[in-house]
Amino acid sequence: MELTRYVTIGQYIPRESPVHRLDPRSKIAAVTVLTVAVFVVRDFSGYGLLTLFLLGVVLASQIPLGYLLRGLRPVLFLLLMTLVLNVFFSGIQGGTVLFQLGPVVATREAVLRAVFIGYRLVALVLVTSLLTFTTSPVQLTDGIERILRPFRRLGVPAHELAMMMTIALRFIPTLLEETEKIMKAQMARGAEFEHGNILRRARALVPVLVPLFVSAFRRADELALAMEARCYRGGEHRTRMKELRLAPRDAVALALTIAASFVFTIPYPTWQALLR
Amino acid sequence: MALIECRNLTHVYLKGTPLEAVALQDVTLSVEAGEFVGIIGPTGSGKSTLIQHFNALLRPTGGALRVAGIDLANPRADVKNLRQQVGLVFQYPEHQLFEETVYDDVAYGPRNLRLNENEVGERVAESLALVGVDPNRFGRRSPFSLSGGEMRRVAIAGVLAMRPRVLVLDEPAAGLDPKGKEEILGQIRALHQAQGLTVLLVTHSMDEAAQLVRRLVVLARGRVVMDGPVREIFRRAQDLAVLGLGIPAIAELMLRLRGSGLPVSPDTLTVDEARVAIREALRWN
Repeated sequence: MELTRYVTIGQYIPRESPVHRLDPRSKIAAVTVLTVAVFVVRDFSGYGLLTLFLLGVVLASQIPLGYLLRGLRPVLFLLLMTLVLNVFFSGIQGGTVLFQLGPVVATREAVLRAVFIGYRLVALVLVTSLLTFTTSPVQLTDGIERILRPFRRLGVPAHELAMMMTIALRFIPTLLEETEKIMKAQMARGAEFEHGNILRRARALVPVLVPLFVSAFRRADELALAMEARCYRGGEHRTRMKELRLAPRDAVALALTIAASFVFTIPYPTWQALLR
Repeated sequence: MALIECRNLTHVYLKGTPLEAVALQDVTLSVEAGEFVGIIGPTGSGKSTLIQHFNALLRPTGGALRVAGIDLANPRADVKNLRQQVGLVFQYPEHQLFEETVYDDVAYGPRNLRLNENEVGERVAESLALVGVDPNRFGRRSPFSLSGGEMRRVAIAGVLAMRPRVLVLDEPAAGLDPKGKEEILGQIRALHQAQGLTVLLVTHSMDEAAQLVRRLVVLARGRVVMDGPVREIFRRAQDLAVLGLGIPAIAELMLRLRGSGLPVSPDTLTVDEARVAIREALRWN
């Protein structure tokens, strides 16, 4: 019964690495660039290079690779579905048949495409987990607030959005812990969460959800009161203890990421021509 | 065979991740049926981790643990049976209340045991009475309409309704006013004396420990550092101070009196004993 063991996505791992020291804004920008690259890449060669690049970043960030890969566990089901759907319902006409069972056909082309799209999902999760593993939630929301600041004129409540995100992120572990505690308390009274059909399992959650909501509302109330007691009035005239400052290393990191992303999108035939 | 028997019990949280943390190390401890044991220790010493092992909410990551004859190092141990025998009351147990009425909330445990409604009703009435809540007056009320102390007692009744042989309580009096505290602790003492329950009490309060328990286990940094009769442990005020723990107010007073030259007996933990000790020291008999 350790919920945090299974939810590694979105968890910050403090380390003293060059990746951790980057400004959150440049990391967010780099993740955005890489995400675009993941969708633009059309060949396995591109994904090969992207994987090498990500491995380099992982090494530099001092995050254990195994731990990063564990972040894939929650999307495993989605990944399997993607693979199955793409193999059997690709809509690709013709091609080399690898496997056939009645109307169900798997062609070589469909399998390749399924793997390709599946890997796209993996790459996306890895890229975003690298961001959250190396950036504390506070830094992350600070970065987002600064990025949104120019849009304030258009009525985007940058500070309020960032504050909501900070609070939400801050309370994920608290609520997980709370859930774990309540589940344990009910288990001590004979509750079983892992037995029975879906309906029974859903009903078994009522004794967990009711106290969880009660405590979430209580916490919200207390936090709002505590913030008001300290004269919180939203973003007006707020200064911050840690100002974000871009350093030369941010420029270097971002330039490298952009350059690398261009390289990833070079189609395979072009590589063949270039390397000849 | 002792009721609870840990040998070199070790627990590591999040084992195999960068966040792993050793919470218990080589804990060897045995509790006999009918004992009333206090567990104290500074924050983070592993008290909560330890007690969660006693009803298999946590499993040892190393060492041996037998509770009520059930071997908990075995992954296929009969956990359900164990959880019925060992009742665990968490800190702030009122946070686990969820039903619409006090009756239904206390009935949750017995219903999980698949008892028939007659027997459930019997157990609800019995356990509410044990914690001093009148089932007829409170049974139909919403648990969320009760006072803090009442909610806590209802929550404890919810555990007692399982009819455990062992009751483990984590800071049962925390956050209550002095009167509420006294009531809860008095009821726990009565459960031990009248019902013969084996009780393990985790507490921060040395005064509580002095009043209630006979044996005290001191945890620090995941290890058992002292284990013995309360009086012996509180005589080691200096060792406790090193761990960041104090001694009961009366023991502290006696220590200071001795320090200023009044030869009172060091073996004094309660107000009544203190009265006798001071009179003796002053030769007032």
